[in-house]
Amino acid sequence: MTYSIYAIVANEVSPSGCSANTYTLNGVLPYLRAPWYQFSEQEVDDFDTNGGTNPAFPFLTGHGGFYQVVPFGYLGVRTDKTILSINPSLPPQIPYVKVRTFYYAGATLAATINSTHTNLTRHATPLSLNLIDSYANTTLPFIIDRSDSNTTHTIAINETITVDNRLYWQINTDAGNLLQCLPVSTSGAYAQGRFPIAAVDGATSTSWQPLTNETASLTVNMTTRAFTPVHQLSFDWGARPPRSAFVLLSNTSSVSNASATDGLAVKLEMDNVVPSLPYNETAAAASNQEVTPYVGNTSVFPVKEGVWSGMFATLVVEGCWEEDGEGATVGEFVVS
Amino acid sequence: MYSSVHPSGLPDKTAYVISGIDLSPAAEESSRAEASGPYISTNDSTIGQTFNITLKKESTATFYKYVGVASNDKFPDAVGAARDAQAQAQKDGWDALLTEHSEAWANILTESSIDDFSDPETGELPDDPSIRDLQIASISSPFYLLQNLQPDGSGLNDNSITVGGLASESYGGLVFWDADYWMSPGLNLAFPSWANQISNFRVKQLPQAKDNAAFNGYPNGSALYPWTAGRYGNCTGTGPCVDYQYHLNPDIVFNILQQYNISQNDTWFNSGPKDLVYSIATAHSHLLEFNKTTQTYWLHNGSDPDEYAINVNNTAFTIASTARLLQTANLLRLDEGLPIVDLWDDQAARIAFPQSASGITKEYDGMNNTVAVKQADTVLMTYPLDFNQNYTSENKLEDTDYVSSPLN
Repeated sequence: MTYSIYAIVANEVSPSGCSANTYTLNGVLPYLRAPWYQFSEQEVDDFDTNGGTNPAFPFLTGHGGFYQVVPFGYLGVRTDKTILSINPSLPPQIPYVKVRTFYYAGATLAATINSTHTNLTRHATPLSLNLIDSYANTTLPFIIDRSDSNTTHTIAINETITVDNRLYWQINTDAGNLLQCLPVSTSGAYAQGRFPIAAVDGATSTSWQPLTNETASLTVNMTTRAFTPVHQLSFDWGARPPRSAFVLLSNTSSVSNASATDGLAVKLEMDNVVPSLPYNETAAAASNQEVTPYVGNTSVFPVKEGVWSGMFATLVVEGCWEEDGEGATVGEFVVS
Repeated sequence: MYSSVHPSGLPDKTAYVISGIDLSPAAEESSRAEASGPYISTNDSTIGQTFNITLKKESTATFYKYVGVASNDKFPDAVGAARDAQAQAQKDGWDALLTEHSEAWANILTESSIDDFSDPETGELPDDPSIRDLQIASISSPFYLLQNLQPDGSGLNDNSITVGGLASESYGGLVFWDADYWMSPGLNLAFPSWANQISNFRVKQLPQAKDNAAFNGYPNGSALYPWTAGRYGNCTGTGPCVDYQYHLNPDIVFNILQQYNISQNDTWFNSGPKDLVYSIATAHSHLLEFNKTTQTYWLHNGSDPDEYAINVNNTAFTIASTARLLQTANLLRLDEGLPIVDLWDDQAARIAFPQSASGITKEYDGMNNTVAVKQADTVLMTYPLDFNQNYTSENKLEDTDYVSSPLN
């Protein structure tokens, strides 16, 4: 239930990136149970492996949390004031959504959202609803609430008003990042809720984690980006850096290690990934006392002159500095 | 076949289950016998029957069971209501019932009431399988929530909604904060008449909530709700009214105010909900204690939604909710032409909000960096609480990043 709220909050306060989408998926996919698509209370239902919890099922709380994401997250509706307030922004992975018809001050409203704009339409309130439109004979005031400015507008029955979305997700969290918020695919398994897209969502607070520490890969589809010289690879690994990693830049989505020798891909190797924050007992004890921002392990690898981006970037990670057999983590994968 | 049950200690409150079956043509009616065996519960209320069935090769046998259920909590002649419902169902038959069911849902869950991710030009969903799952969940979520609700006018809609709904025994079938805070907001927008079931329950139990506050020594005009509520709404072992998750009270208020903003129905608001808002403001004002050393108002011995941290002071979400509550209650008084309560404004302005030197909000006074967080807590201050008192966008972002560290 928690991550649905994170999605709404991330879409409101993130200055860049698309973790709102990652959190949306975090709030739904690990909890939804086929065939009837009911929520479970836990990501893993097995009592023996989930920490000894018998999850509530169906978990209506989870349904309720998810059921808030589209109106309160994407349309940015707030219902805690006497005047309706909206603040629309749709994560780039979702091309379009028509919001459920909703009511405010007894007025009837509909909204459609695409990547850049929102259309808000007001309808007459049907008599059957046992609602009385407080503005039946006049225009309905509403607020477009941006963090830096609020503006008040009015809308008449049968009028449609087009509102610009906040396009904060177009802003790069890491300067010059060619990968942020692009589509990602993987054929490998990953830990519950640790989606590959988390590696390129412009937020280190979410991460991709392959299921095991064996060789694992993800591929970012860069076909919508112009070819660009590449200068640097940088990573925020989070808490669990891999032992080594390499990146293949190519024009085919089905690259392999051999592609580099065949000349089909440029292979950028990082044989020696070293934790930038190795465990230090004294420092750990000191940092335990005070609440401080979370910091992940980072690595930066310069790229030699003359390397260009391709249509696909594949990241391959191998091993993990934590020797528990579980996968390494990649908080953010940046090609710039 | 029929059976009845009543809650322990309440012999006058009885629910009846009456069933009939249609086994033809595969069963021999004359073979009917009372069932026994290991699969029949030994509970006194359990009854079963058996028939001999003859299955023919390559031929489908279909068995129908029609059940009527009613409790005298809502139906004065419950046994009659259950019998009538059962008899009518058996008379109408499966096909008619299925049609009736589908038509009823089509009227409730209309196309325009569903969030829709399909392309407006083609009518098709994007290829992304994640979006297909979002679409399915966008239909299943209101469906499963509404299954447990009745609209205004039904006379049946005053018992809120439990964690697992009517068909689940999880969490003892009790009502928690999540009904008001997690399930209601999405429904309020699109199904306001149905969502009222959630606040109706709290308004119904307001007299008991006032008794709870009086019992705990709170001043006249206060109300305190128990963490878990069932038939009575009194303070119990699982449902403490004090020294626990006080945030439940403002959670209830904020949902009621959202419903009021959506309907702006004064007749409804003035017939209980408004009294509830002021009663909780009075209780939470009493809950805060002025600390002469820090010159701030403290909230002692509470717990936030993160249940790993119990019996601690100045729980961030609860104390922020209390500040918002007191300010909101004063605004409501202004709207009514009443003088504001100066103490409420002063308390709201001087809460002992727990912030670390780094600027990150601590969940409670004294929290350190090693603490495991069970669930969303400080993040709730941004949404749904909309807390903005010396709490900037940067604070909100840092707090969200900090508590999401399990995903790092």
